Amino acid sequence: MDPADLRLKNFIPADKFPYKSVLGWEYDSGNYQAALEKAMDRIGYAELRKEQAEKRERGELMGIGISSFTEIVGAGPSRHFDILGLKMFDSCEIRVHPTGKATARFGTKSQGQGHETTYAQILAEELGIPAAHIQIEEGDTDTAPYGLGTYASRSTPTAGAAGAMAARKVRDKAKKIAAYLLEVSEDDLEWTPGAFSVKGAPQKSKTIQDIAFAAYTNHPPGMEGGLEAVSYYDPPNLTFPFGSYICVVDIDRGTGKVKIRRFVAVDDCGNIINPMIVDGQIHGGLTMGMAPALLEEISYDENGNISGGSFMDYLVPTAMETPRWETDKTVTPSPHHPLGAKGVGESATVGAPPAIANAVVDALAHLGVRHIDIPITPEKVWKILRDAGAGL
Amino acid sequence: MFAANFEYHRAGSVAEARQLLAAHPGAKLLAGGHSLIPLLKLRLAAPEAVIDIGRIGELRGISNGGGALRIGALTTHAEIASSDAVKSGAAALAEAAGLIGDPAVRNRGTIGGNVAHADPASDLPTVLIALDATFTVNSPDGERSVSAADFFQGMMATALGEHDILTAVNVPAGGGGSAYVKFSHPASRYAVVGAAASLTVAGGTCTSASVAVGGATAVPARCASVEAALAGQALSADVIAAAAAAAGGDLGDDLLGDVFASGDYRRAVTPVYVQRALAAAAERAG
Repeated sequence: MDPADLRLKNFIPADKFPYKSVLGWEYDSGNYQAALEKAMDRIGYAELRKEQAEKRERGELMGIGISSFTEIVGAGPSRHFDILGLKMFDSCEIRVHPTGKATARFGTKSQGQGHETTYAQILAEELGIPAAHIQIEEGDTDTAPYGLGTYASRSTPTAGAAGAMAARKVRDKAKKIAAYLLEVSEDDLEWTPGAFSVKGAPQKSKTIQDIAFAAYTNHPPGMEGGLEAVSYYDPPNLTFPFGSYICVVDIDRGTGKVKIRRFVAVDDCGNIINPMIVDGQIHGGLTMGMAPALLEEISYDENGNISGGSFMDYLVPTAMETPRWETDKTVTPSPHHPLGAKGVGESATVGAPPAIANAVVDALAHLGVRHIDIPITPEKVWKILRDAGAGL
Repeated sequence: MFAANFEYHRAGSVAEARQLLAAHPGAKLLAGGHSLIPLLKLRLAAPEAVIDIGRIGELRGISNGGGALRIGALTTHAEIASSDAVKSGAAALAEAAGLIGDPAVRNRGTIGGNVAHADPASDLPTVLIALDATFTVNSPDGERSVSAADFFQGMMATALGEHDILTAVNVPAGGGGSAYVKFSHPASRYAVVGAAASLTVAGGTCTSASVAVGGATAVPARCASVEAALAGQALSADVIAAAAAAAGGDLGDDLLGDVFASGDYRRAVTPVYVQRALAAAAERAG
């Protein structure tokens, strides 16, 4: 059976979500067929299989590897997740200043994932304040709200959600102030990004900047001044991003060298806040995923001494080894995350190694190969070819 | 790691370098620094003095005369790779120089420093052995010429004495075709296996063949059995493949290996690279 058909036949159908797995987790949303079909379409799967059959006739080695994965990220719901008793929520604290600009602090810490951009966009979307007017602060434990940090693809699912929830609290208070300023009932107001206006009289409106100034200068009697809010977000469930990757490799019969000819990655991380950042995470993750598949290994000699003790022997991928990654997406929003978003940081490191290893095994399948330990070095492939009498 | 302390002297001329060498026994010459500096930083070398010859203009540049290219010892890999004279007269050398390290290394590293260092995985020694280059050495007794076969004596060991200064590399600019093909180590880009071939063809048959393989042995190996199998033959793909198949046997018993590529593997892929180098050289030889 074709590996793609096997997967398409066994996927959880899209209409079965949310899907309770036998292990007890409830997969929030998914459309696995759509992701694989998109990857197959993008890479020209049927044509590649034809090409492979022709090449095999001529003794050339080409393989196609598929990896379809589901990730479990956004730890986590406090009823299931704690660290030494500390519940694994995450947090956001927003202060809108009289100027209409804002400062927001989070319990996570970007290590290069671009939180400053993503979080500012979330708050800009929710509050109508330009992202450039929002200062994001993380990582100072003297000032940050309590959070469990950045790892396990959890920042957007937890702290990102806390940002949205805190922003909505700010907006709720802003609405009360706007109603006071416009002398109407809250029910008569409608929100268009950046301003509350009176229904049916859009010229009567107050921008978020007007409201922020009023919050410190002319707030309603009986209300505390200021415009700020905190959210400690306890996610109702994990998020389950997924994807399908297809890798095409050519193998040099003389040396056993594996060359990644094409790699198509279709990821679904729900609603995307910043496409460029998601793409960057996937590019980095694919490169990091290629490393254990083809290069990186901590090896020891017979006495247990490490034999790859420097970067001259421990092979970190560089631009020289990295192929052109072709990324694409499907969008299946999370039903429970306030923005419909899921995590994405580790998707590519999950999906890339098996796609590459499967492609190499596929190229050698007619020789009886069903498994190769990673990293798949040229010498390992050469030995397989030599033993099968298939080398040059 | 940092290098051990050393005295630094800069020479403005070969004569001055000679005086400094005489005054500082055990001193090391510094050219582009891309072999010596790593050795110093790894503390594999700890000379008391380093004599910088890197700015001596007379040691730099490529000239063409008498059927040979004279390449000054301080000529960089980048200059060699982009030189029309080298590309047309000794294509394998230009090719190998263009495959060393990365652009930063090629813009600093020099041919003289490279061959004086004699790393077994280095590209240029392999090519220079295949091309029958000679090395001009300035020594206290005057100038002498050393053949490539005599120059490279072992792993990081050459015919250069403590008071010698390599001033130029002379490469016959032949009428044949030559090529260099290598398997780069993913981290260092040094040759896991590198094969150089030089062929002359007359009347459709091979009149001379010279083949060398580096990376697999302490000193690049001349592949005599491959050369013998090609002499007098029409260079068809089958003839080249059959000749190259013998290359593994020309490497002797003592092969280099590391965690990435064992000696057995290097021997096994040697014919593949020899065959590819021969095919490219044959095409250039016409």
